[in-house]
Amino acid sequence: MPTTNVSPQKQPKGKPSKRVAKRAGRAPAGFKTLVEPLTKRRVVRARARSGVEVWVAPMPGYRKSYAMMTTRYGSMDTHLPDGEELPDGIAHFLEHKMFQTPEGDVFDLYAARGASANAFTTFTHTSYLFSATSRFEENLITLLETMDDIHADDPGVEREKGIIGQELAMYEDDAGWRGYFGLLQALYRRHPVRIDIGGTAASIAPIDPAILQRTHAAYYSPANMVLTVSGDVDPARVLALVDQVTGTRRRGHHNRRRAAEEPKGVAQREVRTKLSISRPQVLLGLKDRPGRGPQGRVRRRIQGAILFEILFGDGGRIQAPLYHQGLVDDSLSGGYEAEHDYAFGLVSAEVDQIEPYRKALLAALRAAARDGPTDAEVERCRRRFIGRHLRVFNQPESTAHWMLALALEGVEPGAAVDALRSATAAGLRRHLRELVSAPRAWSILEPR
Amino acid sequence: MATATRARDVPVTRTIAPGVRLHLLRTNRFTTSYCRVALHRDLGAEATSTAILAQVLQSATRRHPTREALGHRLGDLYGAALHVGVGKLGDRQLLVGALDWPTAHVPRAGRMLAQGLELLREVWSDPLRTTVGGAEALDPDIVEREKVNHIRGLRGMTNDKAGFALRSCLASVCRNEPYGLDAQGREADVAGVSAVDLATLHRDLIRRSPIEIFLVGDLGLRDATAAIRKHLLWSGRATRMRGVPPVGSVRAARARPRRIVKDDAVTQGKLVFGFRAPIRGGTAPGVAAETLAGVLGGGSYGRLFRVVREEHGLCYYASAGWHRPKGLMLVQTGVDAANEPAARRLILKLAREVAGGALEASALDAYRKDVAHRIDALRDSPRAMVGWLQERMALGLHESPDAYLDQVRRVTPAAVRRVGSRLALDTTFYLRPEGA
Repeated sequence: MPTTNVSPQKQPKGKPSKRVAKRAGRAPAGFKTLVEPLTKRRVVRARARSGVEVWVAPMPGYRKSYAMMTTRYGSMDTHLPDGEELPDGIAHFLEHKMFQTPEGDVFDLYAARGASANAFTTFTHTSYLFSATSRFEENLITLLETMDDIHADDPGVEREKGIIGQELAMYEDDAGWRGYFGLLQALYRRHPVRIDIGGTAASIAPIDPAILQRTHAAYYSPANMVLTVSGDVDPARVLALVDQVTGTRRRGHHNRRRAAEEPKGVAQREVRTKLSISRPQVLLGLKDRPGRGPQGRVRRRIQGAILFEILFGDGGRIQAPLYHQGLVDDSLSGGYEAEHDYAFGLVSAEVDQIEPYRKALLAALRAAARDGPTDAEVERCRRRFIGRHLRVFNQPESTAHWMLALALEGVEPGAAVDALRSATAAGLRRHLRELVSAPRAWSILEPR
Repeated sequence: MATATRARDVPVTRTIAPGVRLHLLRTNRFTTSYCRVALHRDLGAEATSTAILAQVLQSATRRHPTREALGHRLGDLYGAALHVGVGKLGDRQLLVGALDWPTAHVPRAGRMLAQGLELLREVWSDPLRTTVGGAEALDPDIVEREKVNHIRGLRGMTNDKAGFALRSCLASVCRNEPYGLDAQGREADVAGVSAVDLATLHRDLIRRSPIEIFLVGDLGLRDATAAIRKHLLWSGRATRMRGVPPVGSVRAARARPRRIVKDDAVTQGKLVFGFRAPIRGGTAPGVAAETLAGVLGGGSYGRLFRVVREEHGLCYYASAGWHRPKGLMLVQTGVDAANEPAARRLILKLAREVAGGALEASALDAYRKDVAHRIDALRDSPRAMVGWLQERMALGLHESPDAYLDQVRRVTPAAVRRVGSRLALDTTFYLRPEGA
């Protein structure tokens, strides 16, 4: 299952149970041991003195170690805690500038040690990461130190506007990106998820070192950060290094977002964009309600994911007939996304003719909602998700991203599997009926 | 740095039947097993029909005669991921069918290995067939549908602007060479493909093509060989295999570089440079040429990133890559149309400097460490390791990853200068925003 599709479980209180401890071995001092139920793999979690949440997945025998430091600050955070409005795209801009230090570019430090470093910004968080097959501890110290401060001067900020301007221009020509944000702008009237993560050339123009400093001070404090580490590493050493580097920092606050006020209806029923593409691309969005609380949210997210897999997965209820009719090809896909204050289902396809496809898709959705999924479909889908979930543990990267999703959601490793097991055909049918009658919007890309 | 090789990380290769080699990577680290079957053939007149054949094979089998049935079987195998497709390895086309599926941590896991291999055999050797005019044919409905989808796919390749610019430059650099053709073939050839042709092509390919099988899983060579023979290998294999051309062939750049400009309704221009040198892959000069490309644009330590992006702020990405089997280097970037002349001049200047042996010690060191990291990390990724092995074996190279790494470490600036003196610009391709 996708790393974001984690499901809830009650947070265990106190020490792990004897059963868990026996399976997983003793947790290093300061850590709580958690066990992934299918593979019985051990994950440990701790809170560093500074407030950083630390997750480690020991993966004996792996050459590569992977570490990711994440702040719960993303493009949806449009204001500072004191109410100051931030320019669109500043979270992403800050991500770019965090690599600059008084001694030079942090990329150089990683490269000199043979490590590979990167960063990315999402709606809800910004992550900095490296992978290394040697000198893990030195690289981890660099990662932790980099988060401490931002070193932005006017010439550097202005030069970065040129680089980011080219990044934005690249996405301007990216059909997948344009279609997706076109859909979000059609679905949402006020919710900040409708804002492009990178902003625009105009929105980043006023960014200066001072506002970057204020934003960093507000959102890059230890209590707002999560470190996830996977590989053949010693959890106790990881925690010791986090304490050593971040121990004296101001703890700060966990960024708890308030739900955005978003009307039930959509902003526009349809958005059309002309682009240099070979044939039309059509995206349908179904505006759903998110589940309540971490557990309810994850349960609903799992349900949504199962539904879209049953309908649009390979050989799926809707995919197969549309494919046979030649209305779609392998480009047809469906998915479900949810955060604490928004959720939507999405169906995307490249098509020859827009209207026959739209008509057929809506008719198929209505028929599926009427009949509902069968027990056999649910069981097959459950198996597919179990297979995907198992693949997560093949790679240090995917394991670290899985832990991050757990941390951001505030749930335990076994919860996803529990939610998957508890999904029923009747529950899925109810959810599908809600989705099919929910406000919907289209994003259509047309060839220029 | 940990470079010592562990016994279980070393792939073992055995010929297990005429024309069939098994490469086993034994490991218990992964939660899934991975098996890739690859047929090598020439990249030429039948490239398009082979690409369509891949799509047809993935659509249905005799036992699972519809896409739904096949999809359901994959679901029953805990979401087994099936991929059948074509790729390009130097002047060869590869027809690849691979399965990634859980063989542990699921109920009745002991049967999963056999079930996955049997499904892979079914997909490879037992497609849905019929007769047309007395001749054996693959299912005509599926063939016609996949021909339409193939044309859609070929046309859709222009949507990825960076990829399109890269392929266009490559087509010019490798004019009249197989490598200049895309692995998916040509739209003009699609109409001539018939269900009968595909049945004939399929029969010939699975009977007479040399087969490479890569298996990553937790089993020893004896068990793996037995499992492959029993559950995967199909009957009716010929004893004499068809020949395949060498993977690599090299030549010098054209006498006068060609500049191609194509206008498109895009926001950002895409600029690609194709350089050539008559340097064979796997040789010491070949490894020096890889170093040249790496120091120029292999990562954040490369001259392109540091100068074109970080110093001048002209682009978001700029990179260089060496195509080992063909002795060619492609350099690519995305730039604003107003900055294209400046970016072009700067990139050519940097390429000349690095080819002249002006290598920053820190960049050379970072490149070596980057290669060491990637080589070491191969062992954590079954697919990456299989891809690496596949190319090396096709090039006739049998050294271990660590031996390759030693070659990289031995490259000197003087060696780079020597290969640089043989490197010349062949083609510049610019996808220009309309109206610029």
